[in-house]
Amino acid sequence: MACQGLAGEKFLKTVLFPETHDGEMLAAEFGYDPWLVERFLHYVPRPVDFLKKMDSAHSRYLRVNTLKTSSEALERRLTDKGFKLGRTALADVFSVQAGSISPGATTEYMLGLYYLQDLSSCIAVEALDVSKESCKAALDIAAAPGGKTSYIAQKMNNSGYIIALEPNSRRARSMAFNLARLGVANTCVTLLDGLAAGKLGRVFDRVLLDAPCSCEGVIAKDPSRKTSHTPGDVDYCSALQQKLIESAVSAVKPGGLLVYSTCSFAPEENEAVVQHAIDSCDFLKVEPFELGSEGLLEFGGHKFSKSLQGTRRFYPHIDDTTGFFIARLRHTGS
Amino acid sequence: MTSPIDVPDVSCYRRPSREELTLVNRSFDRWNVFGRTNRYVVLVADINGSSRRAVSLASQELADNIGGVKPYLAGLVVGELSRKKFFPTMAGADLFCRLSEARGKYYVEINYEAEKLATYGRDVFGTSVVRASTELKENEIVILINSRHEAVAIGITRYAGDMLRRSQMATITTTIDVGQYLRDEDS
Repeated sequence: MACQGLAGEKFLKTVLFPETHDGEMLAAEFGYDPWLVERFLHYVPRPVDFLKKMDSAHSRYLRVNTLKTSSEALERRLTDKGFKLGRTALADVFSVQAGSISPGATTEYMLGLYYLQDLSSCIAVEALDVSKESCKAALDIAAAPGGKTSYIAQKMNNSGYIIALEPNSRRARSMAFNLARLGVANTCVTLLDGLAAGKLGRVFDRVLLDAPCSCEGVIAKDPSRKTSHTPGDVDYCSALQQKLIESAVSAVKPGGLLVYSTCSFAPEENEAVVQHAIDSCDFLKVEPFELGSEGLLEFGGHKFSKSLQGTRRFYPHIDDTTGFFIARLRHTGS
Repeated sequence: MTSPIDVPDVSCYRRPSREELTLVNRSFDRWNVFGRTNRYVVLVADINGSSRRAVSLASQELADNIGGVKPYLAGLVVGELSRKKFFPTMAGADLFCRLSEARGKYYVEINYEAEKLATYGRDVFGTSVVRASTELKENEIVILINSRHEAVAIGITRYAGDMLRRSQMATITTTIDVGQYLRDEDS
């Protein structure tokens, strides 16, 4: 079933707000361009806490590779090595609270017993509701470096099949290293752009589109973005994301799930893109899930459907993750 | 031998010929995993510009569904066929180690100190070898395992039999190790 009227031409242009005294003060204090802070003031809960958290050390997480070990066994091994691990909302994911060496330099890491991955990124796969039974075929769009792909593979227990699209050969090579280290055997990496998803000539039980984005959510890891990021970046990304979601929708099997995610806070890259998809495809429904904060219903005078409350936002100061957005969309057609 | 964790520049993945399958099965037998990889399908891919072929293990569904998709990578590349020899990759060594209960002749156990050094590509000294078959000859490919029986490296014996453990010198040349993933990725 095709969507009616997905044109891919109209997208929500970056909303800018008049400068305020509060916005200017906070922008100066935390070193941001004012336009960005003014936007945060309009939709981020407790913006001062948020800006403080963005300047503090971010939490590190590791995902247990259950293709090779169990959570209990890995926890014991790393604890014996002096690591202090904390539990998270996901059984396969630990926070790394302390360690005598970098978690990326242990033998266990080299052996592929775990993968370093932010909790929010793991939650995107959790939202995909993958199991050996529910998912025989999955598509991962813009898949490098392979963290989410390998998590899907372990949830499928290396059965079924995954097609991972990554147009950049250098990134695909790095992804291949990761998949090899993690022992993934059910995945095919192909050098295709996400826009070609509909041309694969098949549909999938599960489709993951972790879309290329302006990366506002990782400012904590890359503070240069506080001033290098421009409204034009958001415009460029939201236009591309709209085309990618159209492509992704065309690859979902009736009854199947599409998860759309970004590591941006910008509503133009998140709720607006999802709104565009559900407006254009009446068979596409937002399916709520636990964790995170509700999606926005309004931004800068633009109203979104009530169902978008079921999308999820992740904020560093609330969820202790990088900034992230996740929407779970069900293909309800027959 | 090129670094077996290099992503091979392949033409396309296909089912192996009878001769190729015989070679692969013989190699699996050598590593004590013959009959233990049945949940996977063997695929091979010609490596462009050479007579070498990548050997991959893939889920049945993946093998059935890669038609029409030109894979850059399909499944888990466990080794490489060159002429009539099979060279395991690190991912292959890891899988063989986990599937093989008996381990056997071609698995050499090394101590913790040597494990740490091997993951930096260093060779193994005789004094660091904990367990090695006395039937091993010179120039044999072996999988180096730690005390937990995990594959940490692949090496080539420099000595035969007892000398592997007795010599005060390096007795096994490390050719690939788990640390190479990170070193290669950085480059």
